[in-house]
Amino acid sequence: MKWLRFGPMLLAVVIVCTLIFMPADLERAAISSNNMKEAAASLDPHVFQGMLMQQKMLKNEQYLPIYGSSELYRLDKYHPTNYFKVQPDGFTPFLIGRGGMYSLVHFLNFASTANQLKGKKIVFILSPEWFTKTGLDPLHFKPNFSREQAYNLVFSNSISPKLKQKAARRLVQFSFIRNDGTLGRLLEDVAYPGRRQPALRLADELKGQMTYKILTLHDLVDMHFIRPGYKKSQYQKPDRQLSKDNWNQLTLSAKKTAIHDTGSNRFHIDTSLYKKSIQHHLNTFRGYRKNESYAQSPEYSDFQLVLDLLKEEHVHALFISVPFNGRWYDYAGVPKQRREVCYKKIADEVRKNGFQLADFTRFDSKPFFLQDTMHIGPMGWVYIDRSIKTFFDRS
Amino acid sequence: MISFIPYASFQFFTLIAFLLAPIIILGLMGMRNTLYNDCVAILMTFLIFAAQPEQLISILLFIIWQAVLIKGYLAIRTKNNNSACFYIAIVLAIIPLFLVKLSADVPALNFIGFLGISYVSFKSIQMIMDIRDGLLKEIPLIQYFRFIVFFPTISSGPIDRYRRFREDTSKIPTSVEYRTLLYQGLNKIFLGFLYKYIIGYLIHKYWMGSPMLLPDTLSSIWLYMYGYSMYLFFDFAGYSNFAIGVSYLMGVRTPENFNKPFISRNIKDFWNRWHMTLSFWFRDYIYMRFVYTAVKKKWLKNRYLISDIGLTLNFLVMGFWHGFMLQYIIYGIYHATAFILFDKFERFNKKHPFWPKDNKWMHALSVVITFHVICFSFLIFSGRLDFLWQR
Repeated sequence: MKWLRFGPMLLAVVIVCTLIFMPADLERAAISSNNMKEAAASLDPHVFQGMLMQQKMLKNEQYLPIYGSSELYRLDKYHPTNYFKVQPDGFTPFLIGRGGMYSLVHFLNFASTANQLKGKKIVFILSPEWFTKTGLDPLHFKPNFSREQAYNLVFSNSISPKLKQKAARRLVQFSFIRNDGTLGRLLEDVAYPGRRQPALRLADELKGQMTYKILTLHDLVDMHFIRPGYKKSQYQKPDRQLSKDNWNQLTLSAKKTAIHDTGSNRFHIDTSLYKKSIQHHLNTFRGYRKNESYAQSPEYSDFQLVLDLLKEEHVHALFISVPFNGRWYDYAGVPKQRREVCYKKIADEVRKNGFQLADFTRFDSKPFFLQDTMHIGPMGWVYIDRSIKTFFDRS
Repeated sequence: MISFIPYASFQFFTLIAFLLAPIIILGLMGMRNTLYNDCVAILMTFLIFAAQPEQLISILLFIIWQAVLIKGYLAIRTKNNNSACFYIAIVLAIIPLFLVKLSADVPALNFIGFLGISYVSFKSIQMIMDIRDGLLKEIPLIQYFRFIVFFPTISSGPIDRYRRFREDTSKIPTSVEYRTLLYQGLNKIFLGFLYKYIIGYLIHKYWMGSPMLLPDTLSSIWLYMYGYSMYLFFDFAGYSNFAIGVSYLMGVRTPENFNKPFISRNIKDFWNRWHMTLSFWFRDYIYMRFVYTAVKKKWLKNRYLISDIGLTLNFLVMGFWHGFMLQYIIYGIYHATAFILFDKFERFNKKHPFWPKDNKWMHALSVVITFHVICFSFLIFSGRLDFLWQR
């Protein structure tokens, strides 16, 4: 019996430990620029629920991240991803967001990439639909909550302790987070320091570190299997013809498309969608949002968390404020003055914090900016493309 | 409270690594500290069940109940060999297990029971039977406790035998012997990781979890059958490897549970290779005892019929043991039928040879046939076919 026979087992332990406790720098290095290219317009949720890919992307001058939610999935030929492919302006849009990604979800994501965000240019599309009385609810938060990013918040010191505590206090208001075993307890420690014995805390921290490293390893693996998060029907190929058009021509051609697609009904909602899910029970939608108001919403303070973080990191951010579909919301029971309150509060908040705002809420009652009740349509994209270009070229 | 379900989490492995370190160091020096080992056994029993206090209370009551039974029956047995006493003792020993199995249907009984009650029951029932046979003359209480709450195998076996276990615990391996035990034990634990957490996990996630296998069509059920059979083996064999490996580190050679079951040549061969400690337990304490009693008491003349009834009883009990559910009962009947039919085939073939002589092709064919017979039984077992009789 020789001791050497234990060699393979020791080796296995060493290999597993090396893989798990690999430094994040090495993990990022294992993501190729090809992976990144694939991820840029993939809208694969793993990308924005992870952090390695985004950290690497932010270090790359070529990419301009666009944060938002479900509207990013309307990948028609005027969508920034497609437009700046045929009319290059020195950057590639990198899309981050999906339905239900409210401010708090973006905050967690920003916090996990705070070091890389320093001094970076970014674009952030706001949806007024977020700013309801309830704001973010567990139904939307749970599928978008990233445990990896939450652990990062617990362990990293890249944002100020005050902001970290404020965010943790907000997070533990959600019972599904509070009850998430080790992670829930650690977040409560951040929110309310000194609430329990340091020894217990240390035990959870050790366990949490381990879980955190395993989650980043998962993140690394996922980044090598990027899959499109959008449906085929949502995607249009880039159109070379567009490169010759000036902004007026683009607006006109986009408007033409919009008239064709949404001209069938007085709400200017995409015809096929309208026929499929609205027309037959239009009556049930009359006043169905009449109790909704946007004057008070936890979302405003969640959004303030985002603004605070971006200020701390000196990020050059362009916020894009998108309108409701005015005609539809009139019908749904939300009168214009209530909508205006929301637009104004958002605009004030952005400006008060010293950020740039591209405000398109003037299209509230004008058709064709949106293509349905809330999502940006071809003409909307043209306006947004233009503001992105101005923002990128000037600052 | 953090849960320490055996071999289910990182924290469990980290914990036993710490607790076993002194045992390993002493073992390599050819020594053993019984007091320390007993403390570890008590601590682990506590930690495994502490997350659910009602389980902890259940197991404590259970151990005391069985200890009273065994000690009591041993005292009676030394005076006289009364059959009635024996049967009463057996029934009393089975009652807790029976109630727990019943609790699946009777929610009022949900508070009793603990992880691994059936495996612990098997241990005490065999002790009562061995007392009856006069094989056990004395059982020191401390030895009984060590055997019953041997933590590496407490939750799902393998099922050891008291007399074998006693020998391992009473003899301290030499330094050289322990080094072999350590090597074999660690090897098994690593094999367990490969089986349970790599192969089993991947099969479960990507094969059985594939959305393609969801519809109730013949092809998807067929593919599920293979996936489930493989998963069942790798998951359970992996678990058994952990249990056996950790036993070795503690100087106990817990018996093997699997021996390449999917290359069995026939159903008989299969039951000598699959979940061996369970099937041998059933063979020794149900089938053999039934056949022996039936022949001795001349219940029937036909020896083959006795054997067939014994097999049916054997597998029916095994089915019921898995749980009082239709899928398990059908699984038991299915195996009894397969076993009996194979017996008849073998006897017939001996009288009128018609099955071709053995060569490697015939061998391969019988392995393939047996494999499918087994996989189909697991498909019944899995509950995937329940939609056929549950509307």
